[in-house]
Amino acid sequence: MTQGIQKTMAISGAAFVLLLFPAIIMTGLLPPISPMRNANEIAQFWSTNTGLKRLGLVLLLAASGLQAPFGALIAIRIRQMEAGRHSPLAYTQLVGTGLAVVAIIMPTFAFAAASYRPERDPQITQALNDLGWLPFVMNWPAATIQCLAIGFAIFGAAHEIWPRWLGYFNVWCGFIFAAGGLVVLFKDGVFAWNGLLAFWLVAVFFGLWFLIMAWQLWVSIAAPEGNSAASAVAENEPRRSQLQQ
Amino acid sequence: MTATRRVTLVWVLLLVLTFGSFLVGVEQGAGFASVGAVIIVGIAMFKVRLIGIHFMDLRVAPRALRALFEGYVLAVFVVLVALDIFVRP
Amino acid sequence: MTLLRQSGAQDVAADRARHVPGEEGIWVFVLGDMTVFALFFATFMYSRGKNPAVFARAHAELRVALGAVNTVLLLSSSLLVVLAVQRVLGGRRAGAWRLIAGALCCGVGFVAVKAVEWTQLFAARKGVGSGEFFSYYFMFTGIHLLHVLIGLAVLSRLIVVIRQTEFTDKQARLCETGGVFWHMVDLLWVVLFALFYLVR
Repeated sequence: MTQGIQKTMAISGAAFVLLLFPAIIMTGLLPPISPMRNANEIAQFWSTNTGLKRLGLVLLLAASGLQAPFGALIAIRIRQMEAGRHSPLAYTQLVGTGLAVVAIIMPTFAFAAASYRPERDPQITQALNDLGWLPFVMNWPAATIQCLAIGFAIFGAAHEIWPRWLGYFNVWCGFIFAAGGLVVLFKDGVFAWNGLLAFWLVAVFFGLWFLIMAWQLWVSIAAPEGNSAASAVAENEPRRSQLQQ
Repeated sequence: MTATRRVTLVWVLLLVLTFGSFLVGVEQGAGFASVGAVIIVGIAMFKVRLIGIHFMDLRVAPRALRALFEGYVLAVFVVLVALDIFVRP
Repeated sequence: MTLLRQSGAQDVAADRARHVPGEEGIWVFVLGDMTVFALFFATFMYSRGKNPAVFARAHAELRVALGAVNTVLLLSSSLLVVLAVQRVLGGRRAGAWRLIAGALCCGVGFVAVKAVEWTQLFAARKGVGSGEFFSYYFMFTGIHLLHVLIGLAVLSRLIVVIRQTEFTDKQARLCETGGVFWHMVDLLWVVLFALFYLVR
């Protein structure tokens, strides 16, 4: 695992956000369509600018995969922080990463279906729209699992790799992201899927989290002649280093 | 004054303020509502400040942190009062 | 700058040595949380301005006395925590755990009163979907309640830590940090009490 590979993995998170943002705009998801819109209005929405929207959806899928190497490097950092043979928090974080990729893919499929035949019965299109929006905003477990894993790894770190404030930041973000889970209860107001608190606040910190974590991943890349357990240039033969523990 | 006495006095003050604003809250008549809201919010933010300075020990914190907190208290007070005064149906 | 050096002359010593209360990172959390709650407060006040009659009517259904009791409980619990932390930082931690236990009881009391309140409201068929006032009420005080529960877990941990035989600066700092979190929980309630229970 060279420095170059680590740097690439680190900025994949930033790249994810930078690709996600225009893709979301192209698909017409920003600002979010109100949950109060009726079926005809939603059918109308999906019938306009179909080419652009579909392209946006393709880009959303492309972007989603970038979370994988990003999350993997975070897991490595957690592994480096934890003592012992096994790193439960690193595994937890990887599960979160997998879910995070799904968190983008799944709603995108629903939006794609909505966009595919906009001339169909509006009720069906509205249902697909709901199937896209609800998980898109409610997908907090993916984010919160990662945030809490990172936070607890930092607080209980045997080897200090990341600053403690980052742990607090992650725990706080984990709670903020959970606000998205409330949207099924509301069709308007601040906790609806287009609401100030459940959407906008979460969206801002979602993007910010990737940028801050990318920065912290970058600056924690150790020099090639780094020391033992803290060294980022661990073997590409994991078995050997495990035996050495 | 010892530290113990100081925080205990602050606590008493907080209780007095709570009771006082409770009275204001209960006594509010129709026309009194807006003034009452400003007083109540003002007392609440003052209590927040007391908790921060004396309980959270921001008295002894670096000036930057203290300034952030005081700024927060002031900003929230101003914004809430402004919303109370200017937002109409 | 060992925290354990501050004892009887705490006030004087404190003025000479400015330090961040608790661990620095906690302030990232606390200030962030306070800011989000400030957003909650502003949203509430804005909505209230738009629908004054509806809000005033709904507000009348709350039992202000219960809210006041809860405020007193949290303020008192904060005092107990401060006293405990002062003793811990002053090197006199023996018995300080009892103060934290007292604070814990107050916190449990808060949850109990809240349970009574909410049961009454649910019985009156008020829920998170019963109009704007109550959706804000249950959401914001609910999120606050979550903080209280986490705070209770933190306080419990502090009791364990204070009673440990091995106790260094690190544990002392942990107590101060936990205290800061608890005071935040208290401070947020002070504003919630004012906005929901007092302001008409």
